[in-house]
Amino acid sequence: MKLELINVGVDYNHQAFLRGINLRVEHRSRISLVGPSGSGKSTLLRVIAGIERPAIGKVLIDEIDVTTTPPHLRRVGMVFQDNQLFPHLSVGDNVGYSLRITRRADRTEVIREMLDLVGLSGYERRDVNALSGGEQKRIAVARALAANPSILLLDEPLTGLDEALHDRLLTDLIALFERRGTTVVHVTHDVAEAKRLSSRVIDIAELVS
Amino acid sequence: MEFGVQVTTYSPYARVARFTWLPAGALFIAFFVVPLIVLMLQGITMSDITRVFGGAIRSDVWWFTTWQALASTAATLAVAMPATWVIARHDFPGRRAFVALLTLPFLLPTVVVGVAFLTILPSSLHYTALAVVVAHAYFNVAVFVRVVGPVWAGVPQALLHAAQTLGATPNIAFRTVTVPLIRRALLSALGITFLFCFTSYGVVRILGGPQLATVETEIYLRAVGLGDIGMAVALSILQMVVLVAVAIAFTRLAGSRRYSFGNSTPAPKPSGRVGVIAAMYAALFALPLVVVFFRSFNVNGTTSWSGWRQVFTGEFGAAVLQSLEYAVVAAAITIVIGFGVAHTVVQRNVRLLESTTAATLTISSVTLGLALIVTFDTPPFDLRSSWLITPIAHALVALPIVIRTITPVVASIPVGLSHAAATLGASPLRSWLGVQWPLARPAVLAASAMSFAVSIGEFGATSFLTRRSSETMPVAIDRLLGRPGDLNQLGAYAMASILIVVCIAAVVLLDDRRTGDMQ
Repeated sequence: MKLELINVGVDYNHQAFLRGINLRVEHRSRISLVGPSGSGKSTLLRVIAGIERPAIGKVLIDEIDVTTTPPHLRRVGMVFQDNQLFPHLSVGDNVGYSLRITRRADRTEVIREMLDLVGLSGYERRDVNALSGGEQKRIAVARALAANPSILLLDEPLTGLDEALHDRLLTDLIALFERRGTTVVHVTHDVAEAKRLSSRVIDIAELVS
Repeated sequence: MEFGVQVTTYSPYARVARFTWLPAGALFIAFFVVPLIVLMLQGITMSDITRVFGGAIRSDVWWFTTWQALASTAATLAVAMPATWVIARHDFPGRRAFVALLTLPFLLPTVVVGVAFLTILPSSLHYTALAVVVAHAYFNVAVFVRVVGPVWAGVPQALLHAAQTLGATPNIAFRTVTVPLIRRALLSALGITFLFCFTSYGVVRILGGPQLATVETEIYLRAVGLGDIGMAVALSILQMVVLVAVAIAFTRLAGSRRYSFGNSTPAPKPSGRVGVIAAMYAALFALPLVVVFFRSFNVNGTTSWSGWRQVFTGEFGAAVLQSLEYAVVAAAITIVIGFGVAHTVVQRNVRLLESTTAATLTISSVTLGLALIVTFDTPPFDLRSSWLITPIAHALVALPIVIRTITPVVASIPVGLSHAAATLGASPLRSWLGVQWPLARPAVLAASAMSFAVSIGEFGATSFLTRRSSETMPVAIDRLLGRPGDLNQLGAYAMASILIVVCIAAVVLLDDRRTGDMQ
């Protein structure tokens, strides 16, 4: 899937926050946006997901204008910085959330496949609130991938993990995205992480006109 | 070898707190536990029970009580959810005032709510089940706003965004994420509303008229109207059994699982559109109150202040003064003993005390009134003619609310402050007067106002305990409405207006920012 942002501008509290953002992400490619906190990286991901609506400009997915399309119709998956796992659902039900909405018959198999993919086989019945930080992150990735999104957005996915876990999870994610050919837009303040994960690393300051 | 080291944090009040709950305990045992035991042991005979089941009670009493409670709960849910959503998920100018306005009806005396709806509903709806259900919904929206609102506000918006990026429409996200997360609070609110409607007395007395009887009105009719105390007691006990069973069922259903989201929830977003919805609700909620005030000086299109004159100078003035007197005494009792309980709960960590005193909420005020007159009717404990029995009953009804208002504030006063005061040479009393009391004062003021409002509007127990010579305002309103004549009507509405003003003052004090948690 190809993603394009054309002259996108975002307002915050009725004042111009981001202006003149132009970005093109090719099918099956991975790009990382880097910049300090408050630079608007996460906001841009929320615009792509449809959670925030830009004040000006257009968002195109596969040449189709989705600027005003609500998030549930975009097929854009997102891994949130703080995971946002549903605390009232088990691991299996979190991963299978999107499949339950679409009433997929092969739900159990897909959940199992996704848990295998992130290295947490057999975790279906576990309580998400009792998982470690790294396990929760893996579940968040599995949940997003189970929806089979055309584009996956990663919002500071490895922030707050210790160094060893950060490295291991990053290696696993890269292998996973390679294998599945996932189109990824990743934001982080960690340039080294960005360079390892993506073929293109862009400083958000360069995007803002 | 290890040596155990026990560290005891200095607290200047720990020893005193061992005893400060005693006045509450004495009051609770003497005027709640003992009367209930006496009610059960003395008042009831097997023949009364067989009469209840044997057709002595109109069979439609239980049926009407149950279905009107179910219908009222459903109506409350329907009216309350949009308002709760507006409050929990949005910010707009006047939001705090809006919350206060929606809370107000719950504090209003049931008699006033009844009177208000008599005024605004067309006469074809007077004395109908529909009128009772509508008034109950108006009355209980506050339960949802206060119980469900804070929990709903705590559901992180990001969680709903996550659901939407996974393909959920806003409706599906609400059903699959929001509802399960607020389920516990929702079931609590439903349970509380059902119990309040099941035991509704004032609203049914005023709006149901003589045709519609609930168990509560039937207890009163049997005890006072027909002098059939045995049957009244049998009904009270059966009702208690039903109430406890329903309370247990709802608690079981709600489960114990709570979700904590820390501080991840951003402040609600401002929205102009919900401001319009809020304005509509505000108008609907204020209307009955405005109309009551209007009717206090307007009868059949002509203006007359004779009702207000009577309230301040004439016949009805006695009821106003009597109510004020009882309310002051009840507030004084609840504050002194409530503060004592709060101290014990906080200093000695005795949570059980809080739940024990909350037991008064599980029985209806009509049952409490009946238990008190059955118990204290023989010398040397003949208190029926004592003026103290009514404010004591009011204090028992208000006590759980007062304790719940004061305790969190006392608990939030950092223990380090009394340590600091002690190191500066302050005695425990000096430190209490200089540190603890000033910090707790706003909460005590709010609790006094609440207690005052509860006492001045209490109707169920009071209708058993007062006599013609010591009538309170709600009892006088009920009596005056049943009598012909414009002056009686104007007087009833003027007194209802006074009760509304008292409740507004209580809500304003309760919502004072300073009564919030200090930490």
